Formats: sequence, structure tokens, C-alpha cells
Amino acid sequence: MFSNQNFLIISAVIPSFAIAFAGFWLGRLDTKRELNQKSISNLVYYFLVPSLIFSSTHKRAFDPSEFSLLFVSAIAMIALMVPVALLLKRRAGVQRNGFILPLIFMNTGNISLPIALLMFGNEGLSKSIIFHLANIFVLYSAGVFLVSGQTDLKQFLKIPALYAMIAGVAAATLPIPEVLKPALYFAGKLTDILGYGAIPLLIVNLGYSMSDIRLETLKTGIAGGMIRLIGGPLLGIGLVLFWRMIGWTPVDPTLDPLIWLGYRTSEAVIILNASMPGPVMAYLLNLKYDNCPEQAAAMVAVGTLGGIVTIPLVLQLISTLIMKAG
Amino acid sequence: MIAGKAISHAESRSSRATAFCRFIGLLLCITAIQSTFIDTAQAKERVEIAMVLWRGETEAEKGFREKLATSPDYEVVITAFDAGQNKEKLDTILAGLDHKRFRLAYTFGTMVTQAALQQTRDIPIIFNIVQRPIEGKVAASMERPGGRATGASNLVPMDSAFRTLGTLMNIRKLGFVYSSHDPAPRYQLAEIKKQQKRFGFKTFEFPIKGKEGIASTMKQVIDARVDAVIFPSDSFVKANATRIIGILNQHRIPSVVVIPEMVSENRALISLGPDYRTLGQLAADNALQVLKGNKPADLPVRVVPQLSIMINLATADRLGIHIPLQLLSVATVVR
Amino acid sequence: MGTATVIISSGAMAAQFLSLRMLVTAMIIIVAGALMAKWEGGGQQSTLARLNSQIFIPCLIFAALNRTPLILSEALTMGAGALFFSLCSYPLAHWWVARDPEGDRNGFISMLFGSTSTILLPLAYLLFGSQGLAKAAFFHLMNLFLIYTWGRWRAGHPPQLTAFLKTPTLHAVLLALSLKLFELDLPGQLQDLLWLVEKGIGMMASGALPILLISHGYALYCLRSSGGSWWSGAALLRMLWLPLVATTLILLLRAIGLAPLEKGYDLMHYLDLRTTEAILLLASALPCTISAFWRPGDSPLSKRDSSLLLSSALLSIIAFALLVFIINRYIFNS
Repeated sequence: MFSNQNFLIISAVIPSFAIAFAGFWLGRLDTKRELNQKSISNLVYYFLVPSLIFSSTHKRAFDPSEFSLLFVSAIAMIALMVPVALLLKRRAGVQRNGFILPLIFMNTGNISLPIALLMFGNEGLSKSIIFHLANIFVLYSAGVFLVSGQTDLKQFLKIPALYAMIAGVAAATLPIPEVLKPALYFAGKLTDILGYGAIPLLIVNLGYSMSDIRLETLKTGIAGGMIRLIGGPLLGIGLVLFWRMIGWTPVDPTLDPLIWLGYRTSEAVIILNASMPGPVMAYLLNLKYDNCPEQAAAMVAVGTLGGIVTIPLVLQLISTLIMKAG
Repeated sequence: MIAGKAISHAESRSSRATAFCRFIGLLLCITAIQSTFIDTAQAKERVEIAMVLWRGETEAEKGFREKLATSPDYEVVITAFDAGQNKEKLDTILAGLDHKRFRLAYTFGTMVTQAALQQTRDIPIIFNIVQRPIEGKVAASMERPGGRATGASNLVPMDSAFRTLGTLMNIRKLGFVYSSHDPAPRYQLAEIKKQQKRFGFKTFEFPIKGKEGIASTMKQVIDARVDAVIFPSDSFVKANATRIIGILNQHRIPSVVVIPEMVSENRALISLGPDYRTLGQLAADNALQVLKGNKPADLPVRVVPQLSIMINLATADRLGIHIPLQLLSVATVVR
Repeated sequence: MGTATVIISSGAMAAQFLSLRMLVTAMIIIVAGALMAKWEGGGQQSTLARLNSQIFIPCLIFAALNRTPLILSEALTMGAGALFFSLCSYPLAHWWVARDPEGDRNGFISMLFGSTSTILLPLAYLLFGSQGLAKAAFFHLMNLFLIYTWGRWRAGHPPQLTAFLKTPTLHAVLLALSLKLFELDLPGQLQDLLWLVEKGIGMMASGALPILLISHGYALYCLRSSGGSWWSGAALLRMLWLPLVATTLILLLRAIGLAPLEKGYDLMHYLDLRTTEAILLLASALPCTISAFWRPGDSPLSKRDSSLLLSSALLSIIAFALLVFIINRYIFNS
């Protein structure tokens, strides 16, 4: 029926979209809108995602070059999309900057994390988390500035994921005194359990958000959504090729196969995240500051729906060009 | 007159009693001296056993030595020959084995046992840690091995093993990593495949061709996205376990082994297999029977029916696996 | 390899420490739920309850039943256990309701049934794995059935059998049992597709664990903020009574031969029987049910009932710690 590779791709993509569909269906049934998305977002933002980050980072040896590669790649991807987004904004005749938020930022949490896990294993998930971290740092700093006009560094320092990452890296790299080791094991177990809830709830929340989108409003988001879905992976591939050129992700065939695999997984994670649609959080920020919320909702919806088609294609590309080459 | 006669009778009785006592005493002395000679004549028989190993001594050999040391009949002197995982060295050891010096040979593992059967003559062989003696052609049947080899098998009841694993994790894709040079894993793989339908999983084989092949094979394992990896009783894998299992732990892939040391020394997640020390003791039982004159052909191959479970809690924490309390209650844990 | 000292010991000794660690972890997550409620001002209990009942609990139960071999006698034992506990709680429930100054009969439901969804299911999985969760699922299902029928009737409301038949939990159980019973032998990639669906459900099932515990904590905060106090004599009586009932049931099962103590050849079967006993004992320490769904017509909880629920939740913490010790010491190592 399908080749093994195609089946692997399908098996990485379908669970995420199926769960998102479950959230969508839940939203459709919830005609009174009793499910409070703010509650779910708070739960995910303050407890579950930081736990996932700590759980993933504290057990893994910290590699500064890998961390830098992924962090810088995320910021580079955002920066590279800015001129494209500004061009579309001018052509659309929109004045307000909130318009570009769903274009320049990526949905590196809801969809990308489970696909990274299923497609590239736990290593893929760990790398994707680093990428996601960079994305949300910029979203909650520069993104908030773009949409609200306010610069508030204190907001940046209030991001729980930041502290989770610092704690995780510290636990992985610093020598832990014997007396603190039981506490660390305990914290590890606690965050393991809490972290389980992050991915399912992120995806359900995404689906639920999509449930009250009207088809007529999607038209305004087609251009933006498509630019995100097509421009993103192209820029991602370009970025990866650039890293190869400057030697940051070598393709030397004589490399140890596992080290080679590590570099290729990093590249795969960069391209995968680059191909993601705009994040729901961007839409929620637009809504909060009343800055182009309808266009943002449309772009996120078109991007998410279009992702059902484009993401498997990108994964196919990754499997053929990245994971098998060298 | 009567008094004199009485005195004479008394004297006579007294002297007879004394003589009797002396006689008894002499008899006792003679008996004591004789028993000393008898004890000396029944002193333990000194026997020498050649212990031919593949990768040094394990818990199995400790069990074997312990049991033989308790024998009231034999003073067993064991000379160990370690092939150090080198086939040429093994051949040299077997070629140089003095059949007149050694009453029997102890062999570790299928490969060593097969080689010993081919390259030696007449010397009885006690094998240990041979998972599939029949398939490995070292015994005709478990009940009556026939031939000159008998011993103990580390046969793992696979049904029990998979039921135990089922309490721990959901396995749909199982990786089987083994050394392509060792014949024994093939039989273990066949046993595992028999469980596929019942427990609903598929097995993926990953043979390793030498030390230089480890990295590329492990890359294939990671690419395959298996739910867990199982290792057979394989000396090559054991010798390189730290590296292999380290890679699996880094990628959070659970490792299931049958050799308990791979859990305590190499951080595998769980071992499901018979206790090696017990196996060594069972092999020693057979050895003693052979020394007493029984034929190896008639001595059944011994097995340990119950699984021995060892779990590495640190690895479980790292992999994010919760160990159920009911499993902990019957397991040995490593921290 | 690191140079850390390797300690090899009996698993039974490690079990005490690990189970306590797991209980403390669960308590902390419950407290996190209460904190979340405090920051939000409460009021979103229905959000979490809906997520749990519509998505997470069905996925959790399906995943557990799918992984565990089905033993009909065990399922019936757990169901019978739930019924037995409720029947034995009836005199206490009757006394509790009779003393209600407002004549509120909803207290029947609080006293008769325990919090199987938000406490028993996650704890059963964390302590006893899929095997324990599968058994707890049958206990929970029977509990749910009794709430919708007998519980509602005793509380003075019409039974809602139809509503029970529509619960996703029941559908999840039936689906899992059907797959087990019919043992579909699908070719190649179709089998893989089925396993793929299972994987997705497994992801949701893992997510259920923290969400259920957080929901419990959230609900506790709402109870506290509605004026409930931490002390209730009735809760203490219930907490002392039900473990005795559970112990009696376990001894009865052993006496009639349904849970023999001989290890025999099959160690896994022996452990399975002991796990059943462990789950029954754990279920006896459950706090009174705080599920929002059984409250008919959104009627508010009285302070008396709130205090009962809060107090039972607090006492259950102590009870769980003691019972887990007893389970490790006297059930698994009997």
C-alpha cells in the first residue's frame, strides 16, 4: 500500500491532526462555549510546557553547539520572514503590525512537537523543544512589542519556560551535590508526569480554537497562510544549506554514523519547524491587543488546514534529502 | 578355709575383670587405629576440571565453583582457560587440553561448547549458558542429551518474559540486536517470533558485524523507531554493552536483556532470565553426577523454570518508565 | 560508564520508597491544581471536567485495556467490589442524609461513591501500571453506572441510564473489549494503521494523568472557597469503615478460592491476583466523589457537603500512605 518511508511519515502526522480533530469536534459540540480556552492555555503555559522542557533537558547532556544551532536557527527563521511579511502587509494595504505576527512566527508547539517526537524520536523532540523555546521567547518579547507597541522586559522575565530551561540545563551540566540528588530525581519524576499533558493539551486546544472559524473568513487568510506554508520550508532549507556551507552542520560521510545522525536530526527539526503554520498564540495576542485579530485567525486557520497537505510533503523532502543524504 | 577360698574367688574375679577391661581397651585401640586408616582411605578424591570460558568468569562460574566446593567426595581443582572472545585462542586452548589431566571440561556458551565437542575426544563436557542445546546440536533432547555433553541451559520462557514486559510498556515494534558471528541468537530470535502474534508485535533484526559496525547498526535501530530493543545471550553484545546500551539510553529506547550483569554494569533497563548463579549450581550438580560415573548422555539438561527479574531504577527514571509495584516486589533492583 | 556506586537490593525494599515518592508527586500535582484554581478564581471546573470525561478518561481507559490481557473474572471482581463498597457505605450514607438539616439528599452520592476518575485511575496507573489501571477501569465503570442509576434514585432524582450509555468511558471500554475478543488479524499495513491509532490514543492517555490530578486539586479549591471546612466526623467514619470492608472482601476472596495465595508456577498470575487486592484496598481510601457531573440541575453544594468532601480528601492522603505500606508489606510480600 505505502512504502515504509511514506508510512513512517503518515504515522508521524496523523496522530497530531487526529487529536486536533478531536479538539475541533469537541468545540463544535460545545455550542455554549463552556470550555474556557484561557484556562487551558494557563495550564499549558504555566505548568505543562515548563515541565516538558525541564523533563527533556535535565536528562540530556547539554551540547552548547547544538543549543546554539537550534536557537539561532529559530531566530534567523523569524528574521528572514520579516521582509516577506512586511511586503505582504504593504500589498494588502494593512497598517497595523499585528498582521505580520502569524507570518513570522511558527507553530512550534502544538503541531511540531508531536511530529518531531514521532518522526525523529526523543532526540528530535528535545531539539524541537529548543527551537520552540527560542520561538516563544521572541514571540513574547518582540512579538508583544509589535502587536501592542509596549516594551516590557519584565514580561519576558516572567516566561516560565525560561526558568525551566535554565533549571534543566543546570541540572544536566552542573555537578549535583549528593544531598540534592534525591530532590532532583523527585523533580524529574514530577515534571515527567506533568510534561505528559503538554502535547495532548496543546493539540486539543489547537483543534478547539479552529472550531469556531467560519469558512467565509478564511479567504482573507489564504495569501498569508500559503506564504507561511511555502515560504517557510524554502527558507528553512536555505538556512540549512547555509549552515552546511559554513560548517556548522557538516555532511562528511566519514563522520561517526551517530554524530552524523545528530546533525541531520537538527537540520530536520529546523526545516520541520520552519514549515509550520502560524501559532495560535499569535492570534490570541492579536485578539488581546485588538490588532488585526480576524486576519490573524484566518491566516492561522488556513495555515493549519493547509499543513495537513504540506507537512507530509516537507517530511518526505526531509527524509529524502536530509536523512538519507551523506 | 572358706575365707581363703572367698578371697581367692574375689582375687580371681578381680583379675578377670581387669583382663576384660584391658581386652576392651585393646579392642578400642585397634578399632581407633583401623578407623584412622579407613578415614585416610576414604579422603576426598582429587579431580581436575578444565573451565573453558569465552569472556572471563561470570556469576555462573561462581555458582559452579561454590557447589563443587561443598562436595564431600571430591576435592575439585578448577583450571580456567579464558579465550578472551578470540576464536583462535579458543581453538588453541581446546587443542592443548590434556585429556588425561582433566576429568571433565566445563564450557561457557553455545559457541565454546560446539567447538569443544568438535575439537576434543572422550572428555565429558558440562556446558552452561547454552540457551538452545538442541538447536545448537550439543544435546539430542533436554531429557536425554545423548553424547558426552550435558549441563544447564539459560532457556528463557518467552511467554513469561513478554507477559512481564507487558506490565511495563507497550511494545509493537521490537528490535533484536545481536552479533552476526554468534549462531545462538538465531534460535532465540525464532523463540521471540513465536510470541509475535500472541502479544501483538513485530520483530526487526539488527545484526552487528564487529566492533566497527556498532555505530551504523545503532543508527538503523534509532531510524526504525522501535519501542524497545531485546538482546539475546550474546557475548559480543555483552562485551560492548556499555556503548550499545548507552546509545539506546541516550535516545530513550528501553533495553531488555537476559544477562543480569548488563543491568547492573551496563545500565540496561531490565533483565528477564534465569539466575546465573543458580544455573552454575545446577551445572555443578550434573558435573558431580558425571564424576560419580554417570554418563552425560543420561543426565537431563537442567533449567531454571522461574524468571529472575533485575531492574535498573536509574535507567527507568531516565527513560520515564514507571515500574509497577507488583513487579518490584519480585525483582532485584539496581540503584 | 559512570563511577557511581551500584547498589543492588530487593525490589520489595525499593517499592516502599518509590510508592511514597509517587504519592507525594501526585499530591504536589493536586496542589498545583488548587493553585491554578486560586489564580483563576475558580469557576472553570466544568472545563476540566468536560475535557476529562469527553477525551482524556476514555483514552486512558482504552489504552490500558488494550495493553492488558482480559480476564473476565478479574473484571467481574472489580465490578462486584465497587458494588460491595457502595452497599456497605449505605448505612453511613443514610445516617448522613438523615442528619441533614435542609433535607438535601444529594449527600447520598457523596457518601456512597468515591472519586474514581480523578484519583483512582491516575494512582492505579502510577503505582500498578497498565495492569492496575485496567482493573481500576472496571471499578470506575461500575461506580459510574451506580451513580447514574442507584445514586441518582437515592438522591431523589430520576435515574439516567441513557446518559450512562452515552458516556464516552463506556464506549471506550466496549471498544477495547471488542478488539480483544474479536482479535482481528489484519494484513500488513492495516495492522500498522491500527497500531498507529493506538499510539495516538496512548499519547492522550499519558496526558490524562496530570490533567486528572490537576482537576482534583482544582475542585478541592472550589470546595474550600465555597465555605467548606477541613473537618468532618462523617468523613473520618467513612475513611475508617471502608478499608475494613475492603480487607473483609479480600479475605473473603481468598477464602472462597478466587484469590489463592499459592505462587505456583505462574508468577504473573499470582501478581495479577495480588494487584486486584491492592486496587480494592486503594479504592477503599478514595475521597468522596467530587465529580461535577453528578450534581443534578447545577444545585450548589451545601457547606456541610463541602466539608465532607474536603475532609475526606485530606484523610485520604493519610490513608493512601498507610495502605500503600500495607499493600507492599502484606499483599505483595505475603
